[in-house]
Amino acid sequence: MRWVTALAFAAALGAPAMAGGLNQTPGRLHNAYGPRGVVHTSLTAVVTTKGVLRRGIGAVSAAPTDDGPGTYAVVFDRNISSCAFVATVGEPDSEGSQPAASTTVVGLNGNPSGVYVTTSTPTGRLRNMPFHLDVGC
Amino acid sequence: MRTAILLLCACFATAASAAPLSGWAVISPDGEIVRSSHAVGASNNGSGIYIIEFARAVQHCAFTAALGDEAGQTPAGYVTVAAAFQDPTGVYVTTFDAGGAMVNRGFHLNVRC
Repeated sequence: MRWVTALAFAAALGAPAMAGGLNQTPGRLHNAYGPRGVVHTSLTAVVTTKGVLRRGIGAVSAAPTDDGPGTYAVVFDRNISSCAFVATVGEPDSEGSQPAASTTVVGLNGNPSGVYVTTSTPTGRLRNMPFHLDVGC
Repeated sequence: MRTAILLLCACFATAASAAPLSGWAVISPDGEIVRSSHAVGASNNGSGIYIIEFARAVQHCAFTAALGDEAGQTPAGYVTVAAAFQDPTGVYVTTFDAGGAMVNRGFHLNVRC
């Protein structure tokens, strides 16, 4: 009985965090960032100038592509072809900073688990730069 | 029963403090927090240079940002990100105009851990 009471108390403590997860398909829940009843999966990748995957959530690889400078392929551990991709040029770590630059994103051709990222200077020239990528599903 | 409750409370507290922190912030051009989740401070440290402080370490997270203010239209420009130097809870954000010059701009920052 004591344990039942304790578990009920614990459930009450955890209820606010779990409320959005009821009756939902499995997924990583970020309840604080969306309306209740919505499962939001957020995957990330932080990629160096050379295309090395530095860290991430669900990311399994990154590499420069054969298309030339400033083009990268990032692959995740699941199908993300129905997700939204957002990327920002930025240092992977805490030393230095990047000059003005922009990114574009699109699903990786022929790979439903991949994202194709380009990094460009303000003049529109493709150039290798590190970036942070967020995939929201 | 007290022991059981205390143990469970301790487990929850430990899980909460160890859990990676995701958050976000909307920052005005002068470096003030317009609204946020888990951001505890922001500063404008020079033209187009901002440091946003979060409640827990974020240096191993991914940061994405876009220019944008609380209201009105933001001129075209660029934004880049990095972990703040020797500051595990900080994100270093730089903002630029369309020509690549560092200028103050409002922005929206997302931190995923």
